[in-house]
This record gives sequence, structure tokens and C-alpha cells, in this order.
Amino acid sequence: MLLSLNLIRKFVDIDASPQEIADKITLSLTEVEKIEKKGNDTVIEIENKALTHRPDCFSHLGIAREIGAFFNKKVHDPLQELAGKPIQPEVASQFKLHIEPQDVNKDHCRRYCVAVLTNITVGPSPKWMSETLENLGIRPINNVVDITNYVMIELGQPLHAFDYDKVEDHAIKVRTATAGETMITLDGKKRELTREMLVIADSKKPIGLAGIMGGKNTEVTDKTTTIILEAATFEPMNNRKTSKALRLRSEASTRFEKNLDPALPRPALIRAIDLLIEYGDAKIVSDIVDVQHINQTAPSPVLVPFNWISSFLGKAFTPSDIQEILNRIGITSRRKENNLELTIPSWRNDLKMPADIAEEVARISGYDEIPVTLPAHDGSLPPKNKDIQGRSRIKHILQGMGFFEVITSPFIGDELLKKTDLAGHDHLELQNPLTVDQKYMRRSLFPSLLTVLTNNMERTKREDIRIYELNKLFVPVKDKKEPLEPYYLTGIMLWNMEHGTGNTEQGTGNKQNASNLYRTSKGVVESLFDQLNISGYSFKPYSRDCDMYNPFFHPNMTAQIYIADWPMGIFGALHPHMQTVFALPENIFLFDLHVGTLIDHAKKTPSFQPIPSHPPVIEDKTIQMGKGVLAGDVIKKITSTSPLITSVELVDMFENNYTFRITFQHPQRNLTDKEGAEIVTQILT
Amino acid sequence: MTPQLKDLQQSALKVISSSSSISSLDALRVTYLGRKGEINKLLEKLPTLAQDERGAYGTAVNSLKQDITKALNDRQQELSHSAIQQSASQTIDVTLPGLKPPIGHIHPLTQILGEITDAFERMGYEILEGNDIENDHYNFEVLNIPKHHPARDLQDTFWLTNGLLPRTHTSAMQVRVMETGKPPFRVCVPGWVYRQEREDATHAAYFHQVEAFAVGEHISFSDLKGTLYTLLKQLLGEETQLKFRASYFPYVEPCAEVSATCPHCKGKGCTVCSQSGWIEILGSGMIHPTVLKNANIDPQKYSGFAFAFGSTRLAMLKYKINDLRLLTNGNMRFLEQF
Repeated sequence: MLLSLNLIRKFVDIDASPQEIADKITLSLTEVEKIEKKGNDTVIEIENKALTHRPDCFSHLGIAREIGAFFNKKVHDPLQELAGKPIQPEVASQFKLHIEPQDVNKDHCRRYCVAVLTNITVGPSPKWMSETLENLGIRPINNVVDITNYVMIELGQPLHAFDYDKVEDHAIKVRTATAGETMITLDGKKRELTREMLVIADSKKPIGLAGIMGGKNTEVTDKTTTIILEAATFEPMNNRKTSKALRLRSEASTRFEKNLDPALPRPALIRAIDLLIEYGDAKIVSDIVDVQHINQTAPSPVLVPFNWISSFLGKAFTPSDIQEILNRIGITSRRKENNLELTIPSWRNDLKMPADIAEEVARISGYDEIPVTLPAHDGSLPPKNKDIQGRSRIKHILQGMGFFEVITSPFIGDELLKKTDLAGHDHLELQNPLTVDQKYMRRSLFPSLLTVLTNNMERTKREDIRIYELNKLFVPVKDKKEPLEPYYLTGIMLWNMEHGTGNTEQGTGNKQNASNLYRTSKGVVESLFDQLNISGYSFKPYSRDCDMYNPFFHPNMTAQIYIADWPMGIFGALHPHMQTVFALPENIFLFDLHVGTLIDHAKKTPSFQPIPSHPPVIEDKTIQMGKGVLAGDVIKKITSTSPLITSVELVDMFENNYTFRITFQHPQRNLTDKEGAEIVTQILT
Repeated sequence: MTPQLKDLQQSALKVISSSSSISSLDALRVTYLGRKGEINKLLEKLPTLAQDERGAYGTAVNSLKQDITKALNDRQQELSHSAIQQSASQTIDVTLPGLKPPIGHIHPLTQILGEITDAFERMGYEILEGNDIENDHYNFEVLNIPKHHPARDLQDTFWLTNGLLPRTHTSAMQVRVMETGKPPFRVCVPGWVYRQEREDATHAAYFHQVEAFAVGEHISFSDLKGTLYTLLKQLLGEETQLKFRASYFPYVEPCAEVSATCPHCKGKGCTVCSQSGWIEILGSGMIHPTVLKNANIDPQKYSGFAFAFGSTRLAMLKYKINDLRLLTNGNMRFLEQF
């Protein structure tokens, strides 16, 4: 919102510089965005978001009142004088106006003031006025429109002028629209009205959208000589609903939706009449019709215990300090035992309770004046958040294994869903996405993660990539509105074929084949489990109808992961179809793990096992693997042969000959090679 | 010493002194001094000799043994000394680049979040998380933002087709937490929030936010100021100064928008803070009595403060990241810098 400093100075004697004024406004009211010299005026631009509760500040008078309070200067408030100013219409006027109190909807219109003026010469407004309007970003149109705009920026009350001769039967009704009614607003657009929308109508048709925009059918033109001038207080909620439904906002609706002061229409109307008489040769030919559907214009008094203000703000104020500060913003007060009884001015209907008053005291005296203290604390410590700690632990383990953590968009669009065969799944859908790729909430991390992989291969020419994302998925639940929001850990591994895997043990460094890459990748997942001290996990064969089926995984190079018979993850190669879709090379490995299960089974403190004092015996055994025999089963079988076997590793694979390295260990004594060899013989049988 | 012993002595000392490695020396030690070595062979002859010859022969063999032992030890010392010498004289290009083990990177946002939650934990705050998908009630209504309140325009909301919404702020957790417990509360809620905004270098349709609030008896606006000083000094540096200015959010009263001195120029003005020296950092205030009431907390007895800031924004500020989109496009050249 733009403010003219000249106009502000009309209402308050302030000699501070524009910068000083702007600084004070920024600290105690709202942010000043710009100060600009325009002709002999200075225009200050303020942010109006922080004024949502302050319709009075959408005017120069309102801002002048604030500045007066900040600098403790006298404010010349013209409202009272204007409101009491007698209006002397020409007697025996032929210009009749038909409006009855019952014609004004009392639910949505608290006050409705109109007057008729004639003999108007529509033409340009005086230079000072059009210049002021222009400086404030309002296009001058003609003296009638300009005067209504000027009074609005001056006092904050929107006004509207109807062409008297175009109003059927010279009758005004403030009513809700009837079903199917339409009207063309001043911007030339046809509006379909619904039953809740408040309109100004004549005897036949709507002639204005109440508090939003006038109708084209009664627009003031250069042929207009007689006008009906309106100043009203419309109910904010209805005004806002209508404005939202029609997607039509205006300077007027911006003010009405914030709950304008019902004391304002009359003085504003009189101010406009004065200006029209002076600058439009107008003659007033009616009394002011003033319909009021309110019991009182002033807000209810507020009772505040004055000690409470000090303890709530953390600064000692005496009752008279508080009274003096509040007096600067027009609040009069008297002491009533330990309370202050406050009379709130009509334009501050946002002040309803002690906390509101505390804000005024803090704001006017300055937030900087409030001391800096810390709340008392009994020293008790809150419980740790196990999930946040667990996720952090997982991330640090993955960092140690060369993974980059990636964060990607939680949204997904139709194109990527279709591309990844996820389109058939139920997704949470946005009503109002801004772009097509933000239409749904994702339920898989793979589409964006694979996109990230492709992008990195293209842009960074990397061939050795390990990335993961640990984030929420949004999974709709049947017959329930709220989705599940599980955390998943989804990772992708691409190994550089030439430089090996970084794993120099076990001869995997040179010529890679699928099973070596599989083993290297799986080792990463196993290491993660080991580092988390998870015991009892297992990798089981995977198929289309298994617990963990996932379209991103290769049908025959994938394993399901179980922790204690609980399916919680999946590991394997990328499906060849996805490889084609994302233009990726072979031998990319993926994992997808349910983070909650990982954290639930992770042990923080491993329990110590006594270290055997005797050296182990190690025997290598090569076994010819029959068709369909699984290495995992063989290892399990070997391990179960003797309790002395502490580990079985696969150290070499040549065609179908697998060499296993078996470690024997007796807890109490030395084993001989012979004893080891004997057990190995048992294995063979 | 018999000629035989003399020959042995000469030949032994010769081979020992010409031996060129520790391993050949070890072999010689076995040859001469081993269980079946030359010396033992000589001693085996002892019983075959005449009684009066035995003493002299024994002495001679022993002396030979000592000579050989000494020669072996001397040579061993020489050899190991020269081996050390040789090893020590080897050189390497010390500027050869190291081969680094493949270590990954934790996302800068995760890193900053760790700093944030650590700071809150030190201040005795419990870290809690909520669901991203909220309903109108907790996201707006209980926070004193009824339907058709103009304040709803302050946050452009995404709506889901099922009537729920991805939360517009983590403040949605305030009443959820308070209505299930009893004061005092000290709670910090980190999480993703969603706004219907066009994405550019400084705007995103989703970003990370941290909400914090404290409720108890006699909690004051000055306590809010002190808490923010304590927190922001931890996050932005000990010399950080704050500026509190009036603002408006319907769920706090009084409301204060807080700016901090730019952590890069310490308030002198630089490109990060657009030369102003200050960075707008968070919105805060005393929890509105209506919000407390909505959480079944008696505002006559209890008071509290709340504040929220963008963790994404803090990460950008701290690491001087000039484009928000870098945080979520997965570019490894960006991520490897952290």
C-alpha cells in the first residue's frame, strides 16, 4: 500500500524525516518497503499483510494516528466534526429516493448511508487530487470517481456513486441475489450470482456487488448529472466469500473483508459531499439516509489487570505508564481496583482482550524496551526422539559407505507416474496444483531418485554413484481420509566397472560380473544392518506375488529382506524395463527399506562377547554346486554342521565350483588342524 | 684346535661374512648351530676320544661355537643395519595425490537440522514430529484462522481432493501436542510444509520449517526474546544481534517478526543480506489466548510463546546458497560440497 506523506501530515503534526517515520512504522506497525520522492511529496510503500486485522490502517488517517502515537504527537481527527456536520438539502427536491430500513439486509449490512446529489458536472478533478491519486497508484478517471477514491484513501471508507437516472424507480435495496441472477460489473465481466451474495439492487435488478464493485448498468459517465452516493459497512465474512467465489478483489473488498468501523460511513459520506460540492458543482438534494442495524458503534470496553500486563510482557509498567501509552492510540481508561477499564475507539474493534492490549503497550513503547530473560526451568529433560536419532544414525552409516543423501520433491505428475508404471496406484491428489508435475503426493522415492541418477550421469559424467533418499511416502488407506506416512530408505548403486568397487578384498576388484556386483551391493545393505546392530535379518527369494513386490526391481535378481520374519525391505537389480525408461546402463542395484522397522530393531549398545584366547583354525573347502543349489543354503548347512564353526565365507567362485572358507573356534582350548579337517569331511557327506 | 676344526672355522666364518641376507644367515645358523648342525656333529665325536683328549677337544669345539655364534650375530647386525639403511634410503614423490576411501555426503538440510535440534535439546525442548497431511481444524481453525478469515491469504494453501491439506506450517502441531498433555511444554516440531507458490530461486511449493513453543506459568514476552537470543546465537554465532518488530499472525498476540544480524558481514552489509546487515529470520509471539483455550489450557493460568522459521532458509543463509532449487535437484556437484 502506498502512502502520501503530505496527506499524512494533514492529520498529524510531525516534523520527523521520512526515514525516521519509516523506521518507526517498520518497528511498530508493518514493514516499509520503499520511500520515494514524487514531486513535492514523499511516497512510502508499506507491506499490508501485517495489517490484516487493522482495516483502520488502510487509510492515511489511520496511519497518521499510528505515527502520532509513535512520536507522541497530536492527531487532527476530522471524523467527529464531519459526523456532526449538518447537511442542508435543497427543499422540495424533485429527486426522490426510495429506501426503507427493511430493504437493507441486516445480516450482511450493518450500516447503509446514501444521499442524492445533482447538478454535477462530470469532468477532470482538481490537479492536486489527481496528482495525489496518481502518486498512490490510482488512475484518475473523473471528479466523481476520483472523489470517492480520494475519500477512501484519506479516511479508509470505500464509497460508490450510482447514476441516479439509471436506477429503476430510484429505489435502493440491499439484498442477497436470487438464484440465477447475473450482472455485469464495472470491469465489463458478466457475473453469475448465487443466493449468498449481497447485492445493491434497484426495484428490478442488481446494480452493484455490495462492497466489491459497482454495476455497469448504473455507471457514472460524462453525461451523468445526478448521483446516489453510498457509504456502507458490509459484513466481512459474506464480502470475502463473494469476492473469493467470483475471484474478484477490489480496493473496496480489501477493506470490507477486514471488518470496517461502522462509525465511518457517515463522516466519509459528508466529506465526499463537501468535495463534490466544491469540485463538481454538486447540489445536495436529499437528507442522508442512514440505516443502522447495530446497537452500538463502539467496541466493548476491555478490563485488564494492570499487573498482568507487566508479568505477561516481562517488564514493569506502572498503571499510569500503561494509561499514558494507551491514551496515545485513542484508548481512554480508568482504574478500577487492580484493573484498568479501557474504552476502545470505534476504529479499533480488533482490541478485544487483555493480550491485545498487551501488544499495544509493547508495540507503542517499543519491543526493544522489553528486557531479555529466560523462562524458569525445573531442569527436567524431555525424552529423546528415537525416530529422529535413528534416521540420523542411518544417514551417518551410509555416509561412511560412500552414499550421497539426496532430497527430492514430494510431488509427482502423471507423466512420471505413467513412465514408471505407477499410474494404476491410488495417490493423494492435489485440487489446486500449480504445475502438472505437482499433481499428486508421491508414494515411491524411485521415480525422482532414478531421475537424479540419470541427471548426474549426464551432467557430472560420473560412473560411480551411490545415492539415497530417506523420506516420507504418502500411502492412501481404503475407507480412511488420512493416509499412512511411512518413512522409506531408498538407495541406488552404480559401480564404476573399471576402477572396481573400492572393495579390494575377495578379488572383486577386477573383472566384474553380475554376481560380483550383486554381492558388493548386497554387502552394502548387510553392512548397514550390521552397523545398526540388527540381528536376525535374512534375504529371501522374490517373485511377482511376494510380500514386497515392486515394479522397479528385476524379476530374477532381487531378494526380499526380512527381519525376524517381518518383511521390511527389498534389494536387487534395476528392472530392465526401468533401465530402458531412464536410459541407464546395466547392473544398477537398488534397495528400499522400511525405516520404522530398521529403527525398531536397531540396537544402540551391542553386548560384549568374550574374545576367545586361542587362535582359530581355518579350512578352505571347494564344493561343486549342483543346479539350483543356493549359496545361502549351503552356507547355512555348513554352519549347522558343528557348533565349532564360527563363520563361513564364500571366497571364490569358478564356474560352479564355490570355495568356502570355514573358521573353527573352540571357546576353551586349541583346536588341531586334524579336528577341523574331520568336520570338513562331515560337511562333504 | 685340530686342523679339521680350523678348516671348519675358516669356511664357516667365510660363508657367514659373505652371506647377503637375513634368511641365508638363518639357514647358516641351522647348518652350524642347529640340532643336527656341524657343531653338534663335532660334539658327538667326544665319547670316541681318549679320556685325556676330551677336555681340550671340548674346549676347542666350544670356542669354535662361540666364534661362529659371534660371527652370525655380527653379520646379522650388519645385515639388518644395512637393510634398514637401504629401506630408509628409498624415496617417494610425497606430492602423489592420495587415494581417498569413498565417503559420502549428508545433505546440507539434514546437517542444519541436526544443529537446530541439538540446540533445542540443549534448551530442554522435546523434539516431536507430526503428519504432513493435516486437516483444516488443526492447520487453521484452532489457530484462530477461521474459514473466510483474510489471514488465510497469508498462506497459499494446497488442498487435496479428499478435503485434507498438506500442512502450510508446522504450527499445526501446536494444539495437537497441547491437547494431549499438560503444561509445562517445551516442544520443537521440525517438518516439511507446503505452499501453493510458483517455484523460483527463493520460493518453493514445499520447504522445511521448525516450529517451537513453550507453555507454562508466568512465561512472558521477555522470555520469548531471551529464548530467541539463546537459540539464534547458537545457530548464527555468538555475536548475533536481533531486532523485534510488530507484525500479525492470528495465532499470536503480541506478534513479533524477528531479524538477525547477517552472520556473514556481522551487520555491516553484504550481498547475502542485500547490504542491509539484517536478515528476516522468523515469526514469533505470545500464543493467542484463543489457541490455548482451543487446546483446553486455561489462559488465565498459563501463557506461552511460539515461533517458527524456515530451516531451508536457514541452510541457504548459512551456506550462502543462492538458489533454493539446488537443495532438491540431487546434483552431486552441489551435494559433495557439504
